[in-house]
Amino acid sequence: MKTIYQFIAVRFGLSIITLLLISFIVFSLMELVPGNCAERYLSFKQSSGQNITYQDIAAEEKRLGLDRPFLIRYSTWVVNAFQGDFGQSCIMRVDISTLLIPKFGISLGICLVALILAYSLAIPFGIISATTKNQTLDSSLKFFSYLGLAMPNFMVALMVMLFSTIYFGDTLTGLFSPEFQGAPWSMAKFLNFLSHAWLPIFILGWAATALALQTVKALVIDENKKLYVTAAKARGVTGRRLLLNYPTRHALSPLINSIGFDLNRIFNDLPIVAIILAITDAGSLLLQALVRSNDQQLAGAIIFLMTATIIFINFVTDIVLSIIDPRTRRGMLNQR
Amino acid sequence: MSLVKVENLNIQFDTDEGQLLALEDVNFTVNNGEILGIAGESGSGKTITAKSLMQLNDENTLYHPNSKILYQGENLLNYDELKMVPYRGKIFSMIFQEPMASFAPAIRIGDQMVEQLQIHENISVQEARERSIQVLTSVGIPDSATLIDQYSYEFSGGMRQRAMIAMALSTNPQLLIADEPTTALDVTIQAQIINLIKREVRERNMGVIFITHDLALLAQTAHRILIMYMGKIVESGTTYQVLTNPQHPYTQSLIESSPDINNFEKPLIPIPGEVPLLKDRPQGCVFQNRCKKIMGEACRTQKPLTVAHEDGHTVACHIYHE
Repeated sequence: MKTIYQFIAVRFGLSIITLLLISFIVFSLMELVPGNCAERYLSFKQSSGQNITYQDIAAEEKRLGLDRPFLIRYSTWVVNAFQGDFGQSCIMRVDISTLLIPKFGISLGICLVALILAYSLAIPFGIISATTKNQTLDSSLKFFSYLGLAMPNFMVALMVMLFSTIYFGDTLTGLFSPEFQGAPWSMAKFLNFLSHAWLPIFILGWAATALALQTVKALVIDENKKLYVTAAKARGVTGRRLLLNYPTRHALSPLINSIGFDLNRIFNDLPIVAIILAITDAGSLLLQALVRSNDQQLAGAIIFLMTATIIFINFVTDIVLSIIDPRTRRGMLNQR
Repeated sequence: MSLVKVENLNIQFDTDEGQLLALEDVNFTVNNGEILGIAGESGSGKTITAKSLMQLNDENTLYHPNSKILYQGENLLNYDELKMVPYRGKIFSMIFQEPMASFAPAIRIGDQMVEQLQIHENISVQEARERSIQVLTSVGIPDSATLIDQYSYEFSGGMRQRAMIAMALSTNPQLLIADEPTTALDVTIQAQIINLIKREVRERNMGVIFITHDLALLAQTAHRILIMYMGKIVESGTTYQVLTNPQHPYTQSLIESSPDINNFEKPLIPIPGEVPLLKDRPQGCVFQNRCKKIMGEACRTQKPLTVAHEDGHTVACHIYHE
């Protein structure tokens, strides 16, 4: 038991170090974008007709602290970032946290629900598909999987919109009906949100389910052939107990490992689906920030938040893994 | 006293290439307190024979309707999964070639032992745990009260096989099936494991089926030996009979190809060719294409009958048919 706490502590330390390293890379990338925040804001102002001088730029740089050395700027940024303060957007001049965090929360929520749904479907159906002797059932699961894997998300989104417009006269876009747009959160608004959110969740979840289902199936089939399963059978273990405690339990470890990766993938898929379904979430906000305005502060904040989320998920899955499969603990703690 | 009797065991595998004969007319008995050695190359059907006693063969295995595996007059081949449970890990126990791979890696050794005891006996977790610790200690695992909560990867190779044996013996089985139990181990560890098995046989008066490809090992352990080739018993007899006076050309070749530590000059003569694939099973004698004493038409077209060479010593070869 002691080793579990040890493991959690070590793993937590490693997560923080990873996050620091990535924040450094993110900040460096933000700096690498030609031009700084002061120039960008003032050139934006100039394009709207104001006259800007070099003195204005220097004054603005001083005001934003851009004249200080790189490492000082980095450490200020990272300390603030860990407290959820990402400064102001270069162009919009609003607090990034207020702009971003509600939207980011919605994106993350959609992705997490899609992910949880995907895995809670993929695990039982993957096991069924691996062990069933019913060819029809296995074939239909396979068909459903390959369809989900083969169709690009944007196409599914477009098809769903097309069909819903033709048959229901409703485009199913957005996350809220017009009357709830901008309204404060209430039960009605939440229910309205759910009635819209199922669509991106369904689209993102389908591909994820398909991939995870095929992975579970392959893993269970693979484990089922191993000697320890025969050995367990030779000790009298049979039926569901054999299936769940032996091949399934051992197949789960690599699967849990892939959850973090999967969240990353869904996160990357979200912006395109979101743009098509006209959902103003963080992903499309990121694309906007990069394409339209080169707003490095905003982009950096989004990347930092996404990375932090993925690192956190990996931290959680590694702990779950260390409980299910103690061998992983040994690797991390370097003990025999 | 005869413990298990195998009669006319014929097994076919249902594959894409058709139904392939894997075991042909296998007959033998195991007695209480006796170690029966089964030897032969890879693919000779040793493991399939052993696994069929516990019905552990793959799902595509077809047992011929006349085949019988008799325990106390009952034919176990008629039993379904549920009725087989007592014969898996209680009346019969099995240990495997690779102790590392035979333990589930993510389950504590103790939990696997307790699970087995609880399946077969009406026993509390605490009692099962105490019994497990006792058996582990008896097979020479030091500090077993602590080690029982460890995982198999935390054990050394020899310890793992000891633990495997302890697990197999924990339910006091009447028959222990050992499938190459020492092949993956160092020779010094092998000696310990062999002595352990011999001691347990003496103390418990149980029967053992000991499968190996190492004839020298059988000389040390077995009371009787079956030599198998392509799913057929080509020679059987007491260890002394078979190893000092081998009759079948295959047995003779096997002995010629085994090294002898006391005879540096002994030429090692390999058996030419390979065991044919199941689908290429020869007509007539199965050993014909590798036999150096092949005689002619009879060997190629007729199956040799099993004849008694001397009391308790049988051989299936056309040389002895005159």
